[in-house]
Amino acid sequence: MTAAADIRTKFLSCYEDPLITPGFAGDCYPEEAGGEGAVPANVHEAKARFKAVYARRNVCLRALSRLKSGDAERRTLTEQVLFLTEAIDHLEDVYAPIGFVAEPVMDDTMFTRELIFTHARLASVKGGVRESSFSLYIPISLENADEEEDPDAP
Amino acid sequence: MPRKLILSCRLSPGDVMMLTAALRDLHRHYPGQCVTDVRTPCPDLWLHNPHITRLEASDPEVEFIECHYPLIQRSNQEALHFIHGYMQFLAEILGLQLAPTVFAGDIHLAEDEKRVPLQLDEFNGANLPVWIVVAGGKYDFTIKWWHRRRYQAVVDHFRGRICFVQVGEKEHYHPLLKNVYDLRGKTTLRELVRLVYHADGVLCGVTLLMHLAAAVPLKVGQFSRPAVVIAGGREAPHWEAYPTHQFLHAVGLLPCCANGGCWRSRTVPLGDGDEKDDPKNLCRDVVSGLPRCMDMISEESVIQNIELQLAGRERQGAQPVVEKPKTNPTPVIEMIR
Repeated sequence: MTAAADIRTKFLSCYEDPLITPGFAGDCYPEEAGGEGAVPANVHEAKARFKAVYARRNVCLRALSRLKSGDAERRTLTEQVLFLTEAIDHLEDVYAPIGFVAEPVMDDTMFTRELIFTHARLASVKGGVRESSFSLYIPISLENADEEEDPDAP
Repeated sequence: MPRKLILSCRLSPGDVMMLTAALRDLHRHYPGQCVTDVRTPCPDLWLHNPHITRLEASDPEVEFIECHYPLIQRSNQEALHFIHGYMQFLAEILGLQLAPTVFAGDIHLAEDEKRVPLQLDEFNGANLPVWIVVAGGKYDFTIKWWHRRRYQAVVDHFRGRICFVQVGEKEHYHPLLKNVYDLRGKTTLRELVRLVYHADGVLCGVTLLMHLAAAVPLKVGQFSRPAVVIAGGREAPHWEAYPTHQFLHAVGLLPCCANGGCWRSRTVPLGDGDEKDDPKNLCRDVVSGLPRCMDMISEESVIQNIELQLAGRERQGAQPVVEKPKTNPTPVIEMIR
């Protein structure tokens, strides 16, 4: 198994929908804000993953804040928070290359009330013309192009 | 009788910045020989520009010129900067000789814009040097992005020494950094120009802010405006870099940008139907979600370059106080003949 696959497996359960778990504190599930009609195609899955992992961290944070004693439990919860924070970082890394961002709105205890999603918008078509940013492609010179076998190279 | 010209450019503000340079140098080389106006999407870049005279396209004496910079096609083969792009194009169209007189675009500020300082409230109570950071960019060229956490590491390193102000257009990718003054989506283009004037430095990729850092006049007391640019291997450094900037690039370090910029657009496809998702426009060497050329630029190297800039500023007291020259008394047409 590759390192990347290892990491994926490590965090997989963090991204599953926590609301299907009986007794899960629904108010730990963050609200959602941000644009619609966006890429990636699996945007809903991406949002659900972010909400799931933040919700799980909220549960731990709330438990920590209500803890009166018991160092062992505090340690376990703190480790879980750190693990889930790592899972959030991993998820950010997965979606950063496509510019998909989940920006948390937190209170003082890091409890995330809301996630603001931002992402690329689908290009619009107006009057049959597809709106697109200016793009520029430089033909790579022969000297540059022969160093690697790239079937897509111009 | 002076020629009446309307120069049109519908490209991004960074491109328009280069047109400001061409217009300045057209007038410097041929004073009084042209009356000029522009049509661009960013009028804020032309405010207070002395070379703008209102012209109507319907005026039969007006020459309407849609401006391009075909020179870019030779940017991997010749030692040319972006600043030459529109100048060469205009020189050809108008049958003139043009060359840059200043290695920067041409931005003008009113005196009251220079007087009003940055309002960062208690966030910068310690009156630290203010640097502007752009930690993302447009969705069309995602290949220019560096990783948010790397920007964060840089910001964290300078906590207590630099006050970072994060800017960026609302519709673009600009993930929020911690411990910064967040002005994302909150500035007009003109306000950004003013921010740059009052700031002490900038940190960004190859983007408008880089061009502004070079073009916006210096404050009294500044001998240059520090800029650290995280560039990777997309563009040839001589095409984009300004002499006073720390331009961190990887051209020549990797097969995919061995002899110049790769000029590709995206790191991975976005799935938005744009032609920039075509394989020929995608990065050929992605590592951990970053183009390898960007991955090679470490937080440490960015930090080191900012440290260098700060070290230079510490000597500022010993330097003569100058403002960047905006006029050139030499008849510049003589210089290029």
